Amino acid sequence: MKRFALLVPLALLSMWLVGDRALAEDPPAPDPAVVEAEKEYQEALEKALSIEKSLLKTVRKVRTYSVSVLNKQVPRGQPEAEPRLVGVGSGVIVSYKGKLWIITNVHVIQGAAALDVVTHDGKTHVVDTHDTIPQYDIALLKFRERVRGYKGVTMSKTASTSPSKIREGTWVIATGNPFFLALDGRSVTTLGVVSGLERFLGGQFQYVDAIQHDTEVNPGNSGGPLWNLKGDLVGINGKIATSNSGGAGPSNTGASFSLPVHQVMEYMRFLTKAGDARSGYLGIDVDSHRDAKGKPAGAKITRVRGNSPTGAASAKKRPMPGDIIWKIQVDGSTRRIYDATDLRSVLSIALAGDKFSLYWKRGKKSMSFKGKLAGR
Amino acid sequence: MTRSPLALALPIALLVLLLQPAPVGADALGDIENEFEKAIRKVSPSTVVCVPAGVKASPTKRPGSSSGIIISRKGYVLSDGDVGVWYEVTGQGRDRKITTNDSDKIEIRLPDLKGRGSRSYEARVLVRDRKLDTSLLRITKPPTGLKHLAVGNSDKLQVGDFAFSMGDSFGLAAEAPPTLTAGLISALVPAEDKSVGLYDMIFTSAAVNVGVNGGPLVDIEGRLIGVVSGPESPWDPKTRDAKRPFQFLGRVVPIKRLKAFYKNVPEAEGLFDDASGDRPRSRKAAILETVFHETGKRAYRGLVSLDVQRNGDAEFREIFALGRRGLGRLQRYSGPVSGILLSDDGWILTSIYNLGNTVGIVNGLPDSAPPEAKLGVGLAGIARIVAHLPDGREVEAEIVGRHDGIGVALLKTKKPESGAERAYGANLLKPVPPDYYETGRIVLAVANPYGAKRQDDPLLTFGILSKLHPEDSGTRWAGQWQTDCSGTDATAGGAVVDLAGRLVGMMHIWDPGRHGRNSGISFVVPWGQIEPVLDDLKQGRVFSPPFVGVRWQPDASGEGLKILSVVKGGPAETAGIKKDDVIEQIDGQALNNPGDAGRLLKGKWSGDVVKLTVRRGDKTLEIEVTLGSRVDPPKPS
Repeated sequence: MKRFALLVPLALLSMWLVGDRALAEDPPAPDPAVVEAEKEYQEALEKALSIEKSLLKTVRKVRTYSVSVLNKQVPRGQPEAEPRLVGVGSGVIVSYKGKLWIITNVHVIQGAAALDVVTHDGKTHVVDTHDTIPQYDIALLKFRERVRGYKGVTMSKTASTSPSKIREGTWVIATGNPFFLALDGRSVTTLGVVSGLERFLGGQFQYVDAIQHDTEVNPGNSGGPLWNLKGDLVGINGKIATSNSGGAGPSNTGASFSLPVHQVMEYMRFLTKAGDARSGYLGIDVDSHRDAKGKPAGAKITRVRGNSPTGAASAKKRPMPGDIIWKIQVDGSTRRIYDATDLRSVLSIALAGDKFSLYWKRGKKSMSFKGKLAGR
Repeated sequence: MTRSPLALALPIALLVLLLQPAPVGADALGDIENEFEKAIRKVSPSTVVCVPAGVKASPTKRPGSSSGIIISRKGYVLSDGDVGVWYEVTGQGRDRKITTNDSDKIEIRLPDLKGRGSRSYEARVLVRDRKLDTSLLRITKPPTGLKHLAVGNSDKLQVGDFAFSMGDSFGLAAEAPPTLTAGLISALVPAEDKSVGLYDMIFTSAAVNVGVNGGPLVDIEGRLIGVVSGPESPWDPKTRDAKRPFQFLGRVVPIKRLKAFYKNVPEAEGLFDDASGDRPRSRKAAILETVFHETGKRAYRGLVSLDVQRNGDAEFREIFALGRRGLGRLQRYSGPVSGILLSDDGWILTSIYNLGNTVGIVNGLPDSAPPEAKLGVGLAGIARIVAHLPDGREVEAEIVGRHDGIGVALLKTKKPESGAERAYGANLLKPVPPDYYETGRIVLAVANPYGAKRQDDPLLTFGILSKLHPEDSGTRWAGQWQTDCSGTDATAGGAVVDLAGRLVGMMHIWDPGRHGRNSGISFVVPWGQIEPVLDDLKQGRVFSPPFVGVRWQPDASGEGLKILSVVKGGPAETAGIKKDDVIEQIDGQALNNPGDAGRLLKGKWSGDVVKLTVRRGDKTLEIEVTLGSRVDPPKPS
C-alpha cells in the first residue's frame, strides 16, 4: 500500500517533465516524410559526387591527347607575306608502332601553307602533313621537331574500340577547338550520347559508317577526338547537320558525325606507308546493284581484268561479270558490301600483299574466293 | 624444392590489385550508361518514319516528314498533327505548308535495325487533331512481329528527369535507324496556365530537330511519356510575339493529354490501357535525377525573375554580322529574364545581355554597325524593371552598376519592404570554393524566365564545365568558363550551380550570332570574377571599355602619337589635351602606334585615371585623363 502511494507522485512528476519538454520544443518535430526525403537527397548527392569524380578522371586524361590545329595561309595577292592564321580545327595525338602522329580531317588542313598544333600545355609546335585520304577526310600530321613529354592514344587492333562496344545511348565526350575557342590548346570538352550508327554521308568527303551523336560539336571541332567514358578513343569528329533557325550561323543542333576509330585504324596502316606501291589491287570493275525492291544489294561485276589477282585465278574459281559481290574481307576485317562505293572504299585503303576473301552470288549460288592483293 | 616467401607474396599482391574494387563512381556511371542503352533498345524498334503516300514530288511540291510511334502490335501508330502534309516550294527560304489537302494515306517506313534500308507499309490516318498536334494511324496490313512501345505516365515526371527523343532528324533515317538524343525534362508547364507561351507541355533539352516531330519522348525506363511536337521557335509565327522562354528547346505533348484526348475516340479504345501508374526509381540514373531535381529546385529559390520593360519605340533587336553580306537583325527574346539574389536587402545580379543589344557589347562591333547595335542604346530603351521575388511579390528594381568586361549588371530593388528576410533570405546561393573549378564538372543551369507566373520548378538544363578561357586570351570571355548546358536568351542571367547547389557563376551569352543558341556554347561568369568588383558595383561604378576621345596617328618623329582631333566634351578635351599634341607615354610606358595604346589601355575601364606624358611644342606636360565609356549613349546636349 505504501509502495503504491510512493509511485503515484513519481509518475505525475515524470509526466510534468515530459510535458514541459514538449512545450519547449521549437520548431515542432519535423515531418518524417521531409526528413526521409532529405536523407534520400543527401545520399543521392553523395553518389552523384562520386559519379562526377570518375567523369573528371576521364576528362583529365583525354584532354592531354587533344590538340588545336592552326591552318595558316599566305594572304591572296601577297606571295611574299608570312602565312597567317585563317582557319582552325582540332586533332588527336596517337601512337602507332612506337611513333607519335596527329590525326585530323583533310578539310581542316586544306589550303594550308603552314600548320601548327597547340598541345594541352599551351605549347605551339610546327607540324607537317604526312599523308591524307581526301575521299574519307582523314589526314595524318607529324611533329617537325622531336617532341618530349607527350603521349599518344595507342592505335592498335586490340586497343582500338571495337564497333560493337558503341551503341545508341553510349555516353561520349568530345574535345576540340570550336569557333577558335581553344587556341590555347586547352580543348573545349562537351558531353553527349550516341544517336545512331552506320550513318552514310556523301559529298566531297565521304563518311561511311559514321557515328552520329548529340555531343555539342561546332565548326572548329573538326578532326578532334570523340571518347567514351573510359577514355577510349571512339571516333574523329568531322561533320554536323545544322539548321539555320534563329539567324545564327552553322552551329550545333545536336546532330554530329564522327569517323569510327576502327575505320581510322584501317586508314593508319595505309597512311603511314609511303608511295604509290602500297595500293592493293583486286582487278575487277563494279557497278552498284539494286534488288527487285530497289534496295542497294551489292556490287555487280562489270569486268574482270587480266594480269590481276582475280584474272590470274582459275576460271572455275574466280568471279565473272554479272556476279554480285556482297561481302569482302581484307587484312582480317570484314565489310558488308551494299554498293560499288562500299567495295571501292575498302580497296582504296588496302595494301598490296593484303590477304583477301571475296564473297559473291551467282544467281542463287553463294561463292567465295581467296587471294592476295597485288601492287599496281 | 622450397618456395621463397617472396615468390608466394608476389602472386598474392597481384591478386589483391586485381580484386581491388573499382571506385563506386565509375561503377555507377557505367550502370547509368547501361540504363541509357537499355532504354534506347526499347524505343528503336518502335520508331518509324511517316511520309505522304501515293503522290509524287515535283519542283513545286515536296512531301513533309514526320516520325511516328508504334503503340500496338495491331499496327496503331501515333504521330503529329502534320503527318502527311505537303509543302509548296517557294524558293525563298521557308516553304508554305499545304493544309487544305491533307494526305490521309501515309507510307510508314520501319527502319531495319540490323542493316540498311527500311520496310514500307501503307497506313491511314484515323484521327487527326492539329490543335493538340496529334494523329492516330493504322497500318492497313500490319506485319507480324511488330514491336510496340509501352505507354508510360507523365503525371509523375519531374524537372531534372532524363528524357530521350527519337525520330527522323534531318531526314537521316531514310536508310538507317532514327536519331536518338538525350537530355533532361527542362520544364513542365501546368495545364491551367494558358498565358503567353505557357501551356500544358513538356520542354526538353534533348536535341529536337526538323523531322523528329511525331517521334517519341521516353523516360529512363524506355516508356512513352510524350510525343515530340517540334523545336520551339523563338517567336510566334503569326503574332511575332517574342516572349517565348522555351525557345530552341524540344516541345513535347505529354502522354496524359493524349490519353485524355483519345479516351473519347472510339478508334483508340484500349490503346492506352496498359499504361502503368508507377515509375519505379530503382535505377542508378535515379541518383542523378533526384539530385538534378532537388538541387535545381533549391537553387531556384535564390533566383528572381526580371521583367525588363522598354519604351514603346525602343527596339530590342540583335544585330549580328553576316560576313560580307553586312548585318542581320533579329527580334530578341523579350520575356522575363533571370537574376541571382545576392543579399537580404535586395541586391540582384544579372547579365548585361538581358539589358542591351548583343553585338557591340565591349568593342565587338564592326565599324559598319548602326548605332542601335550599341549596348548603350539597349540600356537607354529600358523604362522600368520589375523584379518578381521568390515569395511571389514584385518590386521595382534599378540598375546600379555594370561591368561590361565580365558581362554583369548589379540591380537593387527600390523599396526594401518589411519581411525582406522572408522574401530574399535563407535561400541565397552560397558560392563554390575556389578549388572547385575543373573541366568536366557536372553543372546545372537554373533559370527563372517566368515573371509573375512563377512555376514550382526552374527552367533546368545540365552539362559540364567545358573549359576555362585564360585571363590573357585577349577575348571578351577571358577568365570565364564555358559550359555545354543548353543556353538560350531565357537562361542568361541564371545561376550555374554544382551538384550540391552551390553557385559556380552566372549564365551568360556573349555572341549568339556567331556561337548560336542552344548550341552547347554558353559562358559562365565565375563567382571569382564577380566578387572582387561587387563593392565597386554597389557604389554605382560602371566598368566600360575605355574611351579617350581623340584621333591620333604615329608622329613624324617616330616617337609618340600625334593628336589629329579631339572629341568635343570627351575625356581628352576635358583634361586639356589639344590638337597637335604628341602623346609620348601612357602611365610611363612609351607608345609609338595606336596598337600600343590598345595594349596599354587593356585592363583599364571607364572611370580609371591614366597619366599621359604630352609633348606640346618644346614643353613636356603630364596630364591626367579620366577615361570615359565607349558604350554609354552620348549625353543629350
